[in-house]
Amino acid sequence: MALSGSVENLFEFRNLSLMYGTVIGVNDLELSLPKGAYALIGPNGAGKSTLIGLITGALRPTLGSLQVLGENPLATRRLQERIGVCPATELLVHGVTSLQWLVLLLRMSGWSRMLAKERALEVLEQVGLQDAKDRHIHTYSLGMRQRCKLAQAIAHRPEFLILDEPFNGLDPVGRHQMTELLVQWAKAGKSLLLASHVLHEVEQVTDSFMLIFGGRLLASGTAGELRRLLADLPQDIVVQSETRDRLASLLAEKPWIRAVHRDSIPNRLVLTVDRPMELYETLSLWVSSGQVSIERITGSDGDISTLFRLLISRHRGERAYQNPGAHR
Amino acid sequence: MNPETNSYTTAGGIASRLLKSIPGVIDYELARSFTPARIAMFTLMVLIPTALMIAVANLTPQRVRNEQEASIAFCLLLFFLIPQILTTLGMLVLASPIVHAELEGQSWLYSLIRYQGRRALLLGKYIVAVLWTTCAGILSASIAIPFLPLQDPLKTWGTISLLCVLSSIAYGALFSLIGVIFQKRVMVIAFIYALVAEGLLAWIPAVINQFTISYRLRSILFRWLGLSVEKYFSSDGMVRNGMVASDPTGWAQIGWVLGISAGLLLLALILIERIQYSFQSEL
Repeated sequence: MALSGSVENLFEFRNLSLMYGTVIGVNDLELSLPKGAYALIGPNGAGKSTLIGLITGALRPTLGSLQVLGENPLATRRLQERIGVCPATELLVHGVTSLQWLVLLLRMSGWSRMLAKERALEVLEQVGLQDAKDRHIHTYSLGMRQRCKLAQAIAHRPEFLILDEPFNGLDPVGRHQMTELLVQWAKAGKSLLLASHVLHEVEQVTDSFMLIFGGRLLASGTAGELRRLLADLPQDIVVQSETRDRLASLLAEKPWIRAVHRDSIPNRLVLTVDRPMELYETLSLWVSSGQVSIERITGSDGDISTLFRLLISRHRGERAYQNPGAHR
Repeated sequence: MNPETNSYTTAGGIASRLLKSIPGVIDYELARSFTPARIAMFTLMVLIPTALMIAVANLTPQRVRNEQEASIAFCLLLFFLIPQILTTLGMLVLASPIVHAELEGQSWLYSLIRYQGRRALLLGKYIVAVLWTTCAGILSASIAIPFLPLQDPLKTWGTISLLCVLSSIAYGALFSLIGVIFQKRVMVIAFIYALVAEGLLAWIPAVINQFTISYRLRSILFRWLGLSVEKYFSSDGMVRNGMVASDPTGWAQIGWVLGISAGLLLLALILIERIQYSFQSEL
């Protein structure tokens, strides 16, 4: 992932921190990203919503500075025209229809009554709420309210869309529709920041990730870059070998092996390895020299969830990053 | 992006977009105002002072009903119940929770991320609150006045109606500012302020009462209805220096009320852009 500035970056954080009293919201973020689609991944309370609050100008940093689309969100309100935000909070608007609500929000952006209504109808159709446009929002299902929130985020035709947990409350069909819409958005060359704690859903939309936990950015990069990072982190690897005992004794001497566990399944070893790349090289040497035989190696599958779990474990200072039950 | 304009930076452009935004908020707020609860509140606002005044009028002995003092007493009762109590309470309920209601309903963020969202929301809601309260006050006066022993009912109605408008404008601005500053227990704070400043300080015969809205409204009432302050309030001469009501013309008083309202609203508009509200439970 590019970390240097371009003509107009999507955002730039410079030592960005935000404190809620003594509680850290965001901790010393230093990052610069070009325009594109990104996923902000982190568990609840990781600082995703706080970061979104800072990007939108709703929150003021305690320390540091940020720029979004080349502008300081606190210094100029015109940035609001270029950003669409779909917050995570529940939509609790009472006594109004989705059409009325969208017209209000568009008119708050300075649209005339006529154009606001035309655009509201158009966008309600886009999110599949055209048949429910005259129903009060509080009578909507959770999924419909989620789509209504999305509609307001894209209604004023922003160039940068920020979504906080957009898949919450959606049924499988709704999730698919939401994913399709976001994929189309990204394909159209518009920027996107998708905050979620559900990894597989965001992986379908973008392969650029930022992993956040405890207000800190743990890692960022494309899926490929993160997988390479994964290869350098301690992880569990399962080896299927008919020469299990021989293999176990050979591995036990290696300094980068943290634990070797004989599994209850025959011929299976579970290894906790500090430097997986060295294991793979060593195993290939042993196999080619006939010292051991190996039927199958199942490493961490390289998915982001594994990496995320590892990074969080490391961030928390846990000794056994992956498998607390593993032992030598 | 808004296809109609790309003017963000000039004062004219900002003002023009704000003026476009405010009617949107007014339309929206009026559309969702006509709920059974709001209509019931409006009805009570109209009927309670009306019923009280008619009841007092009916209890007044016939022999004093035609005297000038009775007319003046009912003018003062009208003033006390409508531009003072009804509009103050109406604005307290409608204007003070301008921000709090949005925060509680988790809809604040949607206004926050609009170009003129915060300002338009404040001004739009303020105008709707003034409309509701003014209508309630004028309607209450219109119903009650035909039943009251007044010497010049039309002039009294005109004066009380004007005072309703001014009172709504001024108290609305005051409570809006309080609503912008305080995020929690805003109605309690606004009520205490109204009670202490407008209910108590406004009647203390000292310089401080001249800074209250109530004092200015009272002065307009006395001036426009041709009442003598000394005659009705001066048992010990303390009103000579304008301590109950001031001497300047009614128009000067109106200018003062409108000026202070504009000042309070301007301050509220500045603060609403600068204050960082906690709008999400997890923040």
